[in-house]
Amino acid sequence: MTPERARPARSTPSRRKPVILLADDQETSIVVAQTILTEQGFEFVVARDGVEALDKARSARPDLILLDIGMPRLDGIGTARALRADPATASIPIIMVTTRGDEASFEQAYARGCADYILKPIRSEELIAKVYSVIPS
Amino acid sequence: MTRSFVLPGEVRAGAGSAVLTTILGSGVAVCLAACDRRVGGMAHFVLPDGPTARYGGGALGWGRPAIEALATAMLEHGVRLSVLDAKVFGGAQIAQAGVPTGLPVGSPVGERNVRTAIEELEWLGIPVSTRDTGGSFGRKVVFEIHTGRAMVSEVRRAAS
Repeated sequence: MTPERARPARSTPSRRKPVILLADDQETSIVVAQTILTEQGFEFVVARDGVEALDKARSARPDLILLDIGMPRLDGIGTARALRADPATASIPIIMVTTRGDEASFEQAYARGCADYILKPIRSEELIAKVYSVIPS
Repeated sequence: MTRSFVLPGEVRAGAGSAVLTTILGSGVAVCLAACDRRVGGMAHFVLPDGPTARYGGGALGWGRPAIEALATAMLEHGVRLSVLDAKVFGGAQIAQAGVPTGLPVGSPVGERNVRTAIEELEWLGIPVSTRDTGGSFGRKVVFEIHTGRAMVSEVRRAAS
């Protein structure tokens, strides 16, 4: 019987870490989300308003976008609409992360194709569960 | 007639002419009603049960505690669990097709939320008369406490 030989090392393509675009004008929210998700092995791109979020989404092609509603220049609902209208970003999942707890905001978010909705303050269990619900673990 | 929007992690119950509404993605709404008593309520939770986890200051974001709190509210309104009727909605998986990594999506929290609801209601002995769960779209639920009727509509994607 021929002993099994060690196979020569093959260079397997390394799987890149999933990238999350955090779009929020509140520094605290960004820090909280990053703190929770860094432990899960994600990488981040940050945008401070909706217009910057559109630019970063097109250039970084993130795996997921966490989007605040109340942002300067372009709010989260308008940003979601623009992301969906652009073929380059239309398939990137969006989770709305916001303080807006009114019925209209929920309805607008889902009507703009958001995958889910998280009410601030961010709870780590909810954020992790919903992130892993839309991108590979 | 009062109309109240039930947020994720909230449980509301009452008697008489009142309407409870909510909007669901992966979260689940459980509605309980005793129509002949005009008593009912809704629990909207966002996570399946976990062994020790808590949601914010309470546990109502989790399926099992939320449904138990709703059942307790029914008991406090003088209604026995054996006369209750349950409706279960939500638990969607709305991630868009073509996730950029090309890999399968992760563990769908919506599906686990629905399973938690069904198991908990079964454990409590409350039959589920109506169920509209899963799919890839948001839902709007309008629940009339006094009739026990629930209207569910898809939150349609806007054209642009």
